[in-house]
Amino acid sequence: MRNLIFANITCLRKNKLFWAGIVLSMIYSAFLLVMNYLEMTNSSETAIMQLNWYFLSALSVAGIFCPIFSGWFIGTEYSDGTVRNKLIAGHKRSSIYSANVFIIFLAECLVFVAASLVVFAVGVPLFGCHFLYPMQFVSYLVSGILMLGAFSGVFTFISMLASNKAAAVAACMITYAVLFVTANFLRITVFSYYGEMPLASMSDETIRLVLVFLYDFLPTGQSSQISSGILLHPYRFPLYAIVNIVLTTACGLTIFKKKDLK
Amino acid sequence: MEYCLITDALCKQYRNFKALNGLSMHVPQGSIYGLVGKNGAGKTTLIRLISGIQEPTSGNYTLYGVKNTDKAIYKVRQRMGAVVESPAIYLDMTAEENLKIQYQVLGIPSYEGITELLQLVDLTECGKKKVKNFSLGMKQRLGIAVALCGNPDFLVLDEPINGLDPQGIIEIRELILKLNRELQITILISSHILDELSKLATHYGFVDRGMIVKEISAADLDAVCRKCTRLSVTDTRILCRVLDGMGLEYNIVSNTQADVFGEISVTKLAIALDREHCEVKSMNERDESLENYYMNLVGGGRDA
Repeated sequence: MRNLIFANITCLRKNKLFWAGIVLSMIYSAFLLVMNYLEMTNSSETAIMQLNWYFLSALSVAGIFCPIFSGWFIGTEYSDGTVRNKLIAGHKRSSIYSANVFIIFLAECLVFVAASLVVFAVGVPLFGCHFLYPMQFVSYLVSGILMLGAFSGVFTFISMLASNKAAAVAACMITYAVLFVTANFLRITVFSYYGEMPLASMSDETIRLVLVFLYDFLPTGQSSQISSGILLHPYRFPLYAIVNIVLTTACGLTIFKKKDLK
Repeated sequence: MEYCLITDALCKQYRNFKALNGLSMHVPQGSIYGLVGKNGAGKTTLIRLISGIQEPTSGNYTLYGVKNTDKAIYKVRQRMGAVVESPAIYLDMTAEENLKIQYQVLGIPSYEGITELLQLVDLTECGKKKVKNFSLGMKQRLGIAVALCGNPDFLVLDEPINGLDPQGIIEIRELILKLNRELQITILISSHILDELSKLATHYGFVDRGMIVKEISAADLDAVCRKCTRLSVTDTRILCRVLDGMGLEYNIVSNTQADVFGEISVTKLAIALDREHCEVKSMNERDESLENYYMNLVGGGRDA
């Protein structure tokens, strides 16, 4: 599998979409920092000056990057037929699948790191090195990294089941859209419980627990909570992310092993 | 004789369609094995199975003595290279980059040999040109170069001359012959272009409806595809009598035509037929081509 990972890293280095993701995440972080700095010069009450939020926002950018990149990167392997070379060379399907999960995760992490470097480079001079609740921030960061792993598990699963680039990209984008909308719905529903007018669905305790669980379990739900800095159950996030990774990878491996490739 | 590939009753079922139906074949080491069959016969499916791209529904195959169900098959596959259906190459990379990635996939630590590979397939002039801008012949040659990374002993080529111009076909043919003769690589090449295969193959496997109908060496095939003389006469009954009298083997084609095998004394035959008042309209020499042999074997006119 090591050989496959090295080969994937070489492909990653030459992938234009990856570099576009790196550049866009850096621009996004710089944009947020500059806009908030300008906000701060007008009114320091509304500006966000703690670097926590900027780092955590970078995680959600990496999460959005995942479906586009995984569909494109893994879809190319099918469309160009290069996945056949790996099988003919004697690699097991489990190794090919696992190497793909790893490379998608690595790509996401690098996008996050690139954005984080901008936060350091631009944010510290603008706002100083302000971290609110550092230990809590570190735990959120660890949860966020695992959340990226969950994203890579989900979208590698979808991409590996498609048979060509177009299908992979479309399936990943649609899945992300569905997960994103679901997470937003769950956010509204769950947070209504804590408001004055909880929704009718939240009055039933079982339904409430299920919805809260889904909000914590879905990668998009985690992304929504992490980027807002309000985590309902922060200590469950790493466990849910690991379960997500294990489940999607196990299901993906099972299906991929039986798939007739062309 | 040692075989690098033996298949035993290989079957492959896709939902309602049986692509392979008990296919058994033997590819001798050092040979150029031509897999002949019409579209839909099962050639590509067979190649997918032996390349590890798909799993057989039943039956098995043995690659250099290792069964496909054995864990050691993954190691043995490194002795094999294949181009299945179309070249598997990254379109957004150059030829050299494609070979480097294949070297990494194979775990070859150094890039030594890439220049020689590009020379072998005549792609040294490509430079920084991306594969998506290559001609079809160049892509085919690069696909073969990728398959040759790691110095395989067994090369599988699935219809490598499809879509190529005459120059491209000649280049691929010369490359295949060079690989077999100079590097002793065993080659399995599938094609439905019989004329081209007849210039290459040392052994043939005729595939029809997912089964091997016949396996034969090129030498044996030459012996079977005999030369004959086709005669057009006014009365084949008289011709039969005369030929029986001369002790010649023949085959009646129609009321006015017959194929006569062996050496004929044209003068004696003409005189004998004239005595019986039978005219000879025409006489010409024929070879039973690979095409005729194949059509007689599998029959013509059936849909794929």
